Amino acid sequence: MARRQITIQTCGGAGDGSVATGALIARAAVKLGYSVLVYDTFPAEIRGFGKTISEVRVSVEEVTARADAVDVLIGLNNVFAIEQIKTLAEDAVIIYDSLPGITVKESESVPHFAGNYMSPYGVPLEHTAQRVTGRKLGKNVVAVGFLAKLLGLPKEPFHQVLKELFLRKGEKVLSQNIALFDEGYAYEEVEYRLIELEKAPPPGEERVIISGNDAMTRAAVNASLAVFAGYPITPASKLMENLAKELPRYGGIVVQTEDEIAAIGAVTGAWFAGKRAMTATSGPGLSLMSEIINLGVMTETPLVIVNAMRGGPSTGLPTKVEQADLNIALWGGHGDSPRVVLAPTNIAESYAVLQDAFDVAEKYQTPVIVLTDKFIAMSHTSVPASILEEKRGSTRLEYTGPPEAYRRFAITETGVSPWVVPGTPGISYTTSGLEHDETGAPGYDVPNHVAMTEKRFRKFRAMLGDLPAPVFEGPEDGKNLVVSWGSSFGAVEEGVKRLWNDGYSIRLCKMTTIFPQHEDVMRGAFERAEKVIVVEQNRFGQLAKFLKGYYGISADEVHLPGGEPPSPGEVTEAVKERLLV
Amino acid sequence: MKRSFVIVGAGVAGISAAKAIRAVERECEITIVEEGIAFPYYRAALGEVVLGKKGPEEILIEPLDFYDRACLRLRKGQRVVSVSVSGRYVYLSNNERLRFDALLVATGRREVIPAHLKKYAPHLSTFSTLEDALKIRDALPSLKAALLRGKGFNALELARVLVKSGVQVTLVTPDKRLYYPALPDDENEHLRNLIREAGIQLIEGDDVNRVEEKNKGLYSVELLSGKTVECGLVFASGGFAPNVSFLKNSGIYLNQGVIVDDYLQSTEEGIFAAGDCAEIYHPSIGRYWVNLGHPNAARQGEVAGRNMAGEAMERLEIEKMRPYTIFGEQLYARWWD
Repeated sequence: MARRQITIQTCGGAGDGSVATGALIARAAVKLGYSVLVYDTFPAEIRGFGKTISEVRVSVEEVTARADAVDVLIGLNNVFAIEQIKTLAEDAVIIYDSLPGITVKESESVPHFAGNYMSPYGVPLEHTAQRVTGRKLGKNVVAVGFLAKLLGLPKEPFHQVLKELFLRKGEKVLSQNIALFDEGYAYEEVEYRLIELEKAPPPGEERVIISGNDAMTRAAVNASLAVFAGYPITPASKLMENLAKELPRYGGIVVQTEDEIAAIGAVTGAWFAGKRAMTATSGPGLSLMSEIINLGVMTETPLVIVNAMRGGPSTGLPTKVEQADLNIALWGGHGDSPRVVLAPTNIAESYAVLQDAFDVAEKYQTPVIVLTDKFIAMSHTSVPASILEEKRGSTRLEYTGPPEAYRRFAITETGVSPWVVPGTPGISYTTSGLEHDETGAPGYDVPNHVAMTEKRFRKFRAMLGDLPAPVFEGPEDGKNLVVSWGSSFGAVEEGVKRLWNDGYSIRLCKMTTIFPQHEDVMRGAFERAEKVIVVEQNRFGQLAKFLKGYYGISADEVHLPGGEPPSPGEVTEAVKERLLV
Repeated sequence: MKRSFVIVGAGVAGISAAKAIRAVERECEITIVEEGIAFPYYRAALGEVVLGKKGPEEILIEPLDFYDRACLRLRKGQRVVSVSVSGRYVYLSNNERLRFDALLVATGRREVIPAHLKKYAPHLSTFSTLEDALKIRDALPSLKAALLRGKGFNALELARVLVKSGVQVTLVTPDKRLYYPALPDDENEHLRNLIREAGIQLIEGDDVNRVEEKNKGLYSVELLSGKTVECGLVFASGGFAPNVSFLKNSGIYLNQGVIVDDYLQSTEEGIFAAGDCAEIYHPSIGRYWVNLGHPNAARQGEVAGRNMAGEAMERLEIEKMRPYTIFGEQLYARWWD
């Protein structure tokens, strides 16, 4: 029976082109009308020595999570392919290099390790590449040719993608790559199709393949970003790299600073001067930025910080995924230091959420931390091109009164004080990291501190309407309320859908705004549910503990740490035993 | 070191042998190398697949979990390219070698296109594998007429299922014999009646001369007699050939198939053959002969397996006549002419 989705994993060593293979498959699949999710895994070292894996989930439906298992393995390096076999679906198909050049013993052979239900296809990948191009390069394209034949997919979309990729390198390179693909396609008549993919619905509107970092690049440019300052760190570096190319075209600037402290300092300075600015970092960088973020809270300076989470603590797992920076995002400041914490749950959403971050930061004069992670930042997916078009501009509450009456920290009903750019003629602009009065002059008396603290918190109530509210799916009177956030939501949503099919009564809640909380909505949801289960990818249960403390509720915590994004199957297994029936 | 048994071919003979070896030796390693990528299935049941009565999963020789339960390593989609008798290795097309203590060749046979029709091969359908059957099944809704040439099981079985599916079938046999291995005269006559009663146009003593594609998927077939038949499917069989070409330079003695003794052992010690690729001496006719059909294959596989694993060797009992299901009926056929 044709499957609605399959996952293809390409595995090789440095220079084998695993990531390029994944991209080629994904782009062709999108041309055929499928949805794709591409997840790459690579070593933490800057120059890779080890195994690189690219995983493409191809589906007739939208996908935002990794699959439970890999259906097809393309082994560009047989030693690594053997290591991967244990991670494959029981009935997986394996494409491996069948002419390694020397006769190998069983213990070195890919099919020897394949399970009885697996189907290994030996294709002379390197040999074919050598024959066609005179070099070993391009064996991955041979493998993709064979894969297309195996899945019964037409050649044309693959040819088109090769054209898009290689035409700029010259006709010869393009024709060699087409020849490599065709050789793979024609290698062998496929006797009996073991794996078949359901035909995709006819392609509708134009779709593009982007990563979270790419989506946020577009979002930032279209949200009138003027200054980006940052220090490279995986998995956020690509965002800076993209902006370094893009932003100058729109009149903006990108500064690579000496460290993260300088980066957040430069961002603070740019906002202070009235320009939209941002930085992007990961856990270790966010730690370094803590002090200046606090300055932003106190001086009510907007800041936008994208924090792409990876495994921690410390330098931790630079190329792995974890949702473990929620605590530092929420609580990483001394004093009463509220800040907005947003967390998109997928690549497409990261576009709108980052634009919201700019608008809210500017309108309410506050730091906003956007938590993504390696899964969102560095995976690729297909999204409608139209969602990357929306443009945003200034949301600043301008001061319009007489210059001499200006008070930088005027206490207002919403907590937001009208703003001017320092240096505006006739206006005295005073600010300080010390507690201050309405004029900005230092003021340490207790009633002033209480009033100012209250003002800074009051903004967080006012801004709720401008922030994404929690989204619920499933029956309103579901016995169980499953709450999730960030990139693991995709797996949780798919897992919960399976549990619905099994008859469980579950209401699902996606939380994109972590702070401030949409308190009325959430309190109502917690009251209606008999049981609350919070699923997240960290060991501490960071969102669960926050919600328990905030609302005084009891909740089951499901922790899925481990460095790789959870699959729907893992979620189902972990959640099932806790559900009320 | 555990004894290592390699079986080449996962048809009925290979699977029976694997079971027989496992029954004798619990600890040994058994690897079955099979060129096809589908799970081992009964070829004799492909007609039911064409009719849509059975799916691929319903014609398996053993259930899917059998191979794990019996601790057999099934190497699907792999081809043996040569055998080193002295080194005790089989070499695979992926440049891998497997060591063996005992080897069974159970590669079966393939249908051959008659020499004079080879040039028309692109226009000819085959009916040997599961994929062939699925292809024909999928083409049935638009298939009106078919011409089949040959007198083996495959030609008759295809004729049976096509006519049952409402296709107008013309069956051409070059002589008056309708089945191979040959049927006694009375059974031959009975079969002729069955074929005619089924509504098949039977043309005996004629042959296909030329095949021409008129439009896409529409063929004009000219017979030696000058008669022409228009149809959407042409099938032509010129008999069977054992799949043993990979043994050509091994030193193992071959005739058409692998020459084996009564114990199913080849001319090389520890190397056996069973099923449609083995040639066994038949005292009644005084020559070696390939015994076709899956009941033969099952019995030979079992005996070969026991002989490979056991200490005492067992002779194969040779039956004179055995029933074959031909054209949906049990008919008695000899193995030899």
